[in-house]
Amino acid sequence: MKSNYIEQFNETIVEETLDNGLRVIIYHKPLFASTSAIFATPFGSLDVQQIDENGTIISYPSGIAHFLEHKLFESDEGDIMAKFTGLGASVNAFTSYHETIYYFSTSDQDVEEPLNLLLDFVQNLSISEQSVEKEKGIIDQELNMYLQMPDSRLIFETFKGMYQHHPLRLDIGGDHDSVYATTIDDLYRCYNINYHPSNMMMVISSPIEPTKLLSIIKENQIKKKITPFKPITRTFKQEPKEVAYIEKTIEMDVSTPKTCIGFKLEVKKESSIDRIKRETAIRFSLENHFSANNPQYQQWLDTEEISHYFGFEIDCSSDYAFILFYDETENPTQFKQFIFEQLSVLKTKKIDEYRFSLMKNRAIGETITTFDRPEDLAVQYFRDSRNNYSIFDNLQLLSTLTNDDCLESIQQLTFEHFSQIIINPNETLKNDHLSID
Amino acid sequence: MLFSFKNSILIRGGKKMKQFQLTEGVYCGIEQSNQFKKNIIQIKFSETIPSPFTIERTLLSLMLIDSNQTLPSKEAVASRLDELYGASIKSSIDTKGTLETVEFSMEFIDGRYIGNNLWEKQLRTLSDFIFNPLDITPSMFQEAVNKLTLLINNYNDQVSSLARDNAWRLCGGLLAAKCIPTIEEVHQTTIERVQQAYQLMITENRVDCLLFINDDSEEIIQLFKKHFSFSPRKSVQGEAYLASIDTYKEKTIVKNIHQSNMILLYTSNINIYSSDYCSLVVANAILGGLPTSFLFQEIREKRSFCYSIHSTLDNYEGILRIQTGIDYKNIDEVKKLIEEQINRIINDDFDDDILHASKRYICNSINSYQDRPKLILNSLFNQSVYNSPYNNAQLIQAINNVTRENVREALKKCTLQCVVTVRQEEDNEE
Repeated sequence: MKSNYIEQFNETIVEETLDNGLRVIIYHKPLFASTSAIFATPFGSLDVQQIDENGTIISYPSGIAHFLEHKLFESDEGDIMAKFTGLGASVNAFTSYHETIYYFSTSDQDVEEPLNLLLDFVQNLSISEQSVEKEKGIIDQELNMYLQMPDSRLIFETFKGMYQHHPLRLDIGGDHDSVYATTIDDLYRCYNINYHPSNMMMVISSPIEPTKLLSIIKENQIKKKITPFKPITRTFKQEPKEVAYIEKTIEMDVSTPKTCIGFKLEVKKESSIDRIKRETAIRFSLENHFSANNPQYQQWLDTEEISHYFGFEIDCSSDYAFILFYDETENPTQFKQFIFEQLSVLKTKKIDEYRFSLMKNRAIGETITTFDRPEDLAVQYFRDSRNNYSIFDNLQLLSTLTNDDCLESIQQLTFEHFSQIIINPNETLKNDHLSID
Repeated sequence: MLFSFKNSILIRGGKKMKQFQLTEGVYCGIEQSNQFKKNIIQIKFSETIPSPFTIERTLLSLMLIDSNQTLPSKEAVASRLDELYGASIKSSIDTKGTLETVEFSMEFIDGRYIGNNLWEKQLRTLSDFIFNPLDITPSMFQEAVNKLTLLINNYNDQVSSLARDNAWRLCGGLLAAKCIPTIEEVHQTTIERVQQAYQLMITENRVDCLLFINDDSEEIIQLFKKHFSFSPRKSVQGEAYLASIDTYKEKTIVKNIHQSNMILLYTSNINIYSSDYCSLVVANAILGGLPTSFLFQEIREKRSFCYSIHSTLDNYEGILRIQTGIDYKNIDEVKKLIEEQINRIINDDFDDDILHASKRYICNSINSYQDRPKLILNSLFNQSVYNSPYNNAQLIQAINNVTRENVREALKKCTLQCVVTVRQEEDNEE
């Protein structure tokens, strides 16, 4: 067990890797009332095709990570959610592009039962064909719910426009057909490969003594028979530089047209640290230019070149990289022109030294206050750890980042491959009717 | 009244909360804790509903945090917040019980973690947003109108929000104060009315200053008093009420969507002052407040009719509401199933396990408020402004005392009064 007290932040972090390969991280927070724990696997919606050490490729229907997340809440002994509720604890899970995370929180001082329950239900898939079929209707309703959320639909559609083969073009939950094509065998196969302790991590934030928590976890894990871990990685057909399509218009029941332009960036071969630094540098440049930090921002609003809905996203991973710009506008062509003009300006614009120091202040403040949100802190730890990175590395990175880094990173980008999605309002039926009896 | 605001000390989990009156109608509550790296200050302006200036107050909440005389542009505001290591300023407007409250909230990192004492600058920054606004120009006004229009449109584009808002509107009376404004209403207001609303807010509204801070030394309190000097005003007290709706109402809105959304509103005749308030809290948990609830189990888990279904209490209005996203062709069956679940509870068809589990879950949730500073401040606000009869410890005790008979009786008081369905077109079946 390795314990590390960080005096500057008054935080204690305990870490141990168990004999079965499971990494356990505990933030000891004596002033908090609640314990929250995440149990995470780096298996997300992008992992629809994997390759093992022998070169064997395994394919799954899209949305399988999310389907599996639903089904793990079922057990031979009954409903898992009901068990947690019975213990006074709240439990839930989520699937993202890169991971599936199961978590609970409780203010009860006796955490042995919920902790064991979390470990047990995630480490024991027990499903029937009938229950798999039943779940399809629920997931289908969930997909329908997201399908009619204009903001998330806009982003999903942009990914579809940008990527020809990369699984980012697939919705996290899959689609109607892929959900109904998923079988019990697919779920077991995928589970057995991706839920090995060596591949997983538990991160806890708790007022309870870390040694006590570790002993509960160890006792739980030692009883379980574990097969040897076979490393596996995500694979997909080589993604070309070109986008799937340059423009697409869809109709939805929205009040105002929305548009998103997604720029597909080159994926560089570089270390995780270099990639994170480059992404941070690009983000700083974008924030400096496309936000209220820029004195022109007010003018853009006044002349309606952008609206208050305007925003951007950047994500640079090891196998994809993009920047999105989105807005509500009646004139998507003009918006596209505006973005291109401003990107040209951005490439020649070094961030003012004082402004740059303020932006660093903000990033440092935001990083430190992550400690106030135990659930976010745990998820962040898991995500960072996959890049051999940490919240403290982030503070170090911020202290060494220069505005030359920011300009250089922006100047290296090319914006030639992009896809624009437009959501137009459809013709809504106006037959609202009111009956009072 | 549970306590007086005049220099009282509340006990929360063994910790002392300082409370005092700054002047007539202006109150201050301070919670000191070293648990968090951030400090939070909320300034709340409350007035009785129906307010003649709801739209103007909504516009004010958008305009005031955008600029002020010291920070006259968005850029200046952004720079100042960055100087304060990523401080944030937010505003909102909310209606609860008989009060409508505009809240300004600032969060900022405690100086200990950045080796820099910024209290003077932090307090002055928040104070400037509230006390030193720029004179409203036509372009500032138009920008706020445009922003509010966008927010209303986006709110209404969310099917569940649209259903909920229509339900409040349909019920009418005081409940209509919970609706968001219409775009037509927003476009009818004027700069002069917004200015009038600001003057009333600053000089006549009840003010509650709530602080969750690492350092509550006399020096900081004096600094706060220096920057937040309000004139005396009439003290307004909020109240919870019991909504009554004359007749059962139904509305269907047809839209080109993939999934229907249905909301059912029940008058419960129970609010936070009612002796059976905690009974309804437990009944709601059994019915639809938790994953173990009957609605979740019967409608989602057993029949796969939906992904989301839940029941919620509006404790200051005496309303229980149920909302779900479903396929239109199942609407009637789901309505029937909802009614069956309510009757199951009324007819004593539930086991002790679910009663105990629900009570334990609720009590644990209340305990966990200690880790959520905004919930602590909310609780403090509710106790002082609405004379809410429970602090957290009392609430836990009262929840633990609820019996199955109490649960049945509480649910018997609920009457279905309004159903709003935002329905997909028939050829839009997925």
